[in-house]
Amino acid sequence: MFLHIFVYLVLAILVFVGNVFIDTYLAFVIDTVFIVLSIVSFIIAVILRFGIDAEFSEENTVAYRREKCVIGIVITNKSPIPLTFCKIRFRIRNINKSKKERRKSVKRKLVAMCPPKGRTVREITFKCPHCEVINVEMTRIYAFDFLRIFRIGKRLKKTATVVVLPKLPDSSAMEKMSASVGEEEASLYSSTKAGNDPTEIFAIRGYVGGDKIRNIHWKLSSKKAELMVKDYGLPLTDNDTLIIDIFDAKVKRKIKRNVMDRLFDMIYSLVCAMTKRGFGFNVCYMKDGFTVKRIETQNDINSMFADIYTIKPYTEKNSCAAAYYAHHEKEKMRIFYAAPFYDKNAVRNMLLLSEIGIVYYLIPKAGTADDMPVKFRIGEE
Amino acid sequence: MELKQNKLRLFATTSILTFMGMLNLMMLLFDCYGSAEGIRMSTGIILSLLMSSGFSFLFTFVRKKWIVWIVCAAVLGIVFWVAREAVMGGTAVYINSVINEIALYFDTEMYFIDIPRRLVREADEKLAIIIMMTVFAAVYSFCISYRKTTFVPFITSLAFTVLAMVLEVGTAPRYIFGIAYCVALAIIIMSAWNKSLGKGNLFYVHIAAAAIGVFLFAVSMIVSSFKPEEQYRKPEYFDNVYKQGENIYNQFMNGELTLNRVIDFFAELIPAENMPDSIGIGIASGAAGEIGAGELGRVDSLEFSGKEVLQVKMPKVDGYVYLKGYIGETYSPTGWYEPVWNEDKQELANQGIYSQNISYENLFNLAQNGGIDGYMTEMTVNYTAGNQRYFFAPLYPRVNTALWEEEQGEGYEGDNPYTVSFLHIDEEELPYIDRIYNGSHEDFMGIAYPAIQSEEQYRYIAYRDYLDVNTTDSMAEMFNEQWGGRDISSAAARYSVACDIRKYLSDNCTYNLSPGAVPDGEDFVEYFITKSHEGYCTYFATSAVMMLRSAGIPARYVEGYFFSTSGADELDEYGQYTEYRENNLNSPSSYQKKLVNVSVRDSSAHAWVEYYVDGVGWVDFEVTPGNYTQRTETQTTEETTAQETTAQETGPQETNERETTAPVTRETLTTGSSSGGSNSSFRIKLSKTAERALIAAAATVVLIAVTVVFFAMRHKKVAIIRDRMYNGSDEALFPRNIVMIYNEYIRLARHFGFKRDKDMSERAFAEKLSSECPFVSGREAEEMAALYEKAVFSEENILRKDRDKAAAIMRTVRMRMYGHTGAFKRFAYRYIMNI
Repeated sequence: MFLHIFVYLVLAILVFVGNVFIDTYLAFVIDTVFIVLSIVSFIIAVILRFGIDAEFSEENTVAYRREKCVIGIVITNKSPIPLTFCKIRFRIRNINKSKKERRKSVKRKLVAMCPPKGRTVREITFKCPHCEVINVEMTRIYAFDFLRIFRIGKRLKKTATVVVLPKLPDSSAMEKMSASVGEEEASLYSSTKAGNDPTEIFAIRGYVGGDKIRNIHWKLSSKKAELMVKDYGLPLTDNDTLIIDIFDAKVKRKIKRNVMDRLFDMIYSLVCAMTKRGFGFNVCYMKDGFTVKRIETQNDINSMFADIYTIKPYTEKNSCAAAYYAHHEKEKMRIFYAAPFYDKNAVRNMLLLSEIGIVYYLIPKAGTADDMPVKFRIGEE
Repeated sequence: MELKQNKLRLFATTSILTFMGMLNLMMLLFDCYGSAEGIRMSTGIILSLLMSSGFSFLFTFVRKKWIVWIVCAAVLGIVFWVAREAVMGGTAVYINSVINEIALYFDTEMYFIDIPRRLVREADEKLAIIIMMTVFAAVYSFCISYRKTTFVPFITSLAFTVLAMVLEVGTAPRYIFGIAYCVALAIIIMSAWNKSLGKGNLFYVHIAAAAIGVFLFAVSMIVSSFKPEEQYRKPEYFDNVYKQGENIYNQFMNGELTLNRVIDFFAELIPAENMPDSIGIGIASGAAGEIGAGELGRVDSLEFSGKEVLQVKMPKVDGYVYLKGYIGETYSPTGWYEPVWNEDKQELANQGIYSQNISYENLFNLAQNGGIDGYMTEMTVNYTAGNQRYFFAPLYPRVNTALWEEEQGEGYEGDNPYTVSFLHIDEEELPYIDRIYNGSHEDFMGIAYPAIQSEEQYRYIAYRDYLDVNTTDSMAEMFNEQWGGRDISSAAARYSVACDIRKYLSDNCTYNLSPGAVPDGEDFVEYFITKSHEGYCTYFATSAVMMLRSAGIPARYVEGYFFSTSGADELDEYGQYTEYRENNLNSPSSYQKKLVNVSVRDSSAHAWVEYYVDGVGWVDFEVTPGNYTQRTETQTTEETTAQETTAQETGPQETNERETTAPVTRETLTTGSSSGGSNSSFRIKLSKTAERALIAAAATVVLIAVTVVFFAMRHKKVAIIRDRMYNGSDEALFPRNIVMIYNEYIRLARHFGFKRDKDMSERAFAEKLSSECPFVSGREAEEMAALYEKAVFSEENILRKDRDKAAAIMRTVRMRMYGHTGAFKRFAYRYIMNI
């Protein structure tokens, strides 16, 4: 803003100096042109200000971690004058940030032009390095005259929410994860029928026309010199449960953030694999109390993450595992336990849960990149 | 469909904007300059409309723009080939008219295009303007349709609008239109780099730009109609602001503001080594405004404060200008004493005889009667550093007071500022100043007799008071052996002795501003000549005076200031300047010359020598190494110009009859700091950038060499033609020679701002030149016109003497004109333009 005032003042001083040094009618000509131009420019800026508006093309959108997020902005010009230049100010911040931290939000600008009585769409792009819910806020829009001498701002209070989902799992990771569960759990699956659960291999047979290429067991096929295909198991129950406990740990914020990202990546890989089986599962977490959600579709996954991102870390007293234990009896089921750190709280909870089911834990381990669910065995704590 | 619609829209807007641009060019370029045969406004408008729509159509709808350019170039090329002389001639005539307007407005010399006669004959300004309009239309429509290149027509239109406004060749509506159009293009430029500016949006930007331009023009015209030009008066407020600003500026230049004190405070923090070197007696104590009053050898090194002491207003002249302030008559080891005013001098003063007047009158008479070269002008001297003890005036001033023959008392209490007329002669004239005028002796004697008589009465005082060699006996003896017995019977002989003394000093001593103080008990001259061999101007001047006196030539020590007028601020005032040339009998060329304002600082203080020439009086002579060398080289070049008689003018290698001394090796003028830099050798590995720079430099050198060779060959060709023209012996060609000489004469006059109109007769042009041109006398102009008429219209035989007469006039006029141009322009006229 001050730069524009400064530029205009410089121009005005030049005109004034011209009047001092030029004795002829030319000085009057320059004055006239300058004054008329200033007035016309100001009027144009005012007209444009009242005709301009901007909004997000989508108010809720999804992005993936470590990928760029693109949000569309629709700029509308209702005035009869073309808008040759406008600027929009944005503020991008994590929804969880405290008041103090909010000041460190990212500010961005976008410039655009718009025909008279028309609209134009522009995009803003920003990186999403962490799993979080991001608020993108349009704070102000500035309309400029044609020569950009004057600018007049208009307040906007438009917000768009972006849920940054974990990294998209690649299929090999899902396969690995599928292979890591299912030992000694034959009773959880049908012994007579094949299904779609990749966590359990029902049978391995020779290739028959029509079989999915994805199901080919390549290692075995190379040994046998003929194509061998995996048949997946058919779970007898759809009560697999994922329990998420986010305890407050006294570690550096950067470490905590990386750990949480890895945890969410693991959870996302698991829920995507489980959803692919074709039937749902349950997720439990502590958000405004003990919450259970049924997950069956991708939308459910998205809303689940939107919820768990906003969970504030809590103490052991509010453990989700304990609350689940209190509500359930021993059943034939698998329990996936997700926590950020492998500490005594986590172990205690897993011991508790192992009384009522088969427990697998998803806890990021330092020094390993292979974040697979691991079966919890009593004695290994 | 949408694409086609966009293209149609774009075509429309591009046409409108290009048409506006062409209209702007018509109003402020093609219609304002040129002769009456230029294009009419109505024709221009129609052509602009057709061209702008045509080119806009082509550049909008033709996908491959290069095809359009090739076709356009081909068509223009064909037109040019068919009517090349008309186009070239018309373009050159038009451009010359623009240059002429600029030259007339700024009252300065400019380079015109040299148009051969056949082109002038064939020139068709209208066709040339149409071709130019076509090119502009193509460029404008291409650049506007390509948005990012819109700055090209913007800069072009802005430049021509500003030019027209500065030269005041248009009217207010045209200026307003020009500015409005530039604003419209500025809008397009501002939007050019916007990423969302597609072809669809470009249409809106064009519309907005054109609308704003038209609206701005219309409203400005309405507003300005309320106060037309006839009723306009500059508001008093701005005049007052201007005057106040001027006052503040003058106060700042005079050092009266607080800001000056702040600047001085910080300037004093700068070490003395950063001060510019200078030749001069300087100020030992560092105080400004007062010279060392004859003091000798008191300080180890000189320091200058750089403060302004005087302001001198005078015409710009070549070489150095000296201001005399203090005369030393009697030498002592610690300093020079001023002359003593006694009864003899008083008696002469009662008769109006003063030492400076004598030399002025004698030299003036000689110069006026063509005996020597010189110039006469006046200067205004203004003390700006408080009270001055001495009166400073130039050499050979026209004053009637005993300025330097009486004690100055407590200080100079005369007028400040004051104006002094003076005569200047170059050192090269000194051998000839006692010769008798080579015209009629009786006539000359009649004029010069009073001055000659005055000198004869004064002479004994010079020989009585200014011959003492009161240095040590050993030095007196040594000087007597070296310089005694030399021929000093004429001015030339005395000048020869003075030059030999100067050479002796420069060969045996070096210039140094920090020679160290003369030890107590040592004689100043002896210490300098036999022991230290280094010093500044006072050392050289004092020793030279002793040596001249030993030779029997009365001599005295002079202190003052010296400066150059080159680089000084030009003023809006003019002063009388009269030039005298040898053999130019009673017809000096006198004209008004622009004045410059020179700021003389304490670092310009200097000391030199005056010696006496019988029959003339006191003459000034420079003895400090480095100073006279420059003047000698400059004057050699000047003499080359003056001696020009034949066509063998291939370069500045002509002999100089008046060359008196071989140029002396210039001594270093610095205070001993090495100027050559370190001698250590080291290897440099050149970076790529350095290599490229070297290659570029080499290419530049080659280009310059080629250019030089080209101009040298061209000059040689012209020289040969000129030689045949001036010295050919074929009688049948004499009339043609005279015509060619006359054409050359007109061309020369035009380059100095005296244009001969097409319908002007030779006689009328001769009258114009004689009344306006200071370089051509009435007689010469008439003779030239008469010779031309005789050669062209008369049936009489043209004789050799007619041709020679024309050639002589041409040479004389050229010589005079060259004499009033700077060295660079002279070089350009002679070797590049071959005028």
